[in-house]
Amino acid sequence: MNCQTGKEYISQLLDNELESEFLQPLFQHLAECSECRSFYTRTRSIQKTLGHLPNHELPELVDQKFAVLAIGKEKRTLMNRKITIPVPSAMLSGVFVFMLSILFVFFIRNLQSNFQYVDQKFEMNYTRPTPSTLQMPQYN
Amino acid sequence: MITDEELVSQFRNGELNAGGMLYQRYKTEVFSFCRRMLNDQESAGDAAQETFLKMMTGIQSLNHHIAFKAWLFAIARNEVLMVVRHRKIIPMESFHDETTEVWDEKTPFSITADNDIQIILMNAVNCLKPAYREAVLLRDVEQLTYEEIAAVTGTTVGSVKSKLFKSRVILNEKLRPYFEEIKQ
Repeated sequence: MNCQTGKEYISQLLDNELESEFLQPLFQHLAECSECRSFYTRTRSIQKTLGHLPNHELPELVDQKFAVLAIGKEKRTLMNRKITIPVPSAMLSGVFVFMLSILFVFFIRNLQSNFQYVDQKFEMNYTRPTPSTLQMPQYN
Repeated sequence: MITDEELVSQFRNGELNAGGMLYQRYKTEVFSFCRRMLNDQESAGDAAQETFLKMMTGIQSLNHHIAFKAWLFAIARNEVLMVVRHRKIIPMESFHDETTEVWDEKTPFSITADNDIQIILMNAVNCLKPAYREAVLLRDVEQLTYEEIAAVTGTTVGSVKSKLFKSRVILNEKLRPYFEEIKQ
């Protein structure tokens, strides 16, 4: 392999685009050629530096134009807020609510029967006043 | 995180907010690409604005086999070309020129007094002919694949490989003293 081909392969290797069949001959060449090793190191540093370049901020005037078009700035209120829930969580919540409602119905029915029992007891212990037992008011 | 494809699909179904999220996600990258290609803040702002307007209006024409990012950068590149055509900042033919020199000595390249390696590097990238500069920016800054760069620039993968290789050789040569200094 000559240096021209070696550098072409290095360029592709750094982009993760080199086919695997060319890896072995390239590494063999790199082991023998210091010039290509330097090319590899420098190109990798250049690529890394380019990858970390700070971005330029979009001018505010342009950004505002898109805000005017109501794009990119969502006006969220409590009423139009969307919530996404995963299906398993939604199903579990449904089952939980269902069981809670059954318990509630059971509790209410139990409460009703307790009241009936108390009513019955009250009926049994309470003697209704009869006309003979009633004290009539006396008028002079 | 919601993928670009999901947002595109939502936007196509009329959810403006999805378009807004795509805009927020890419506004800085697109503007930076235009800025680096044109070397002019105002022209880059115009190109970025047109890019997003075309994104909003042309989203229905996006094919499913093209990644959204590549499609967006293709629009941005076209807008850069439009600005170049109207304002004559860079000769148009230099965008399609693969046979002539890779390096453009006419572009200012004053790096002697500058110690900031990023500025030195960007000055060097600015000295590349536009056809080569865009390949380097799309690959090393925007991290697009060879196929995506070919789709953006309307060329072949072979041409992209060749441009990147030639650019790297010349950048290596011109930046040799600075990057050897860093290594030590």
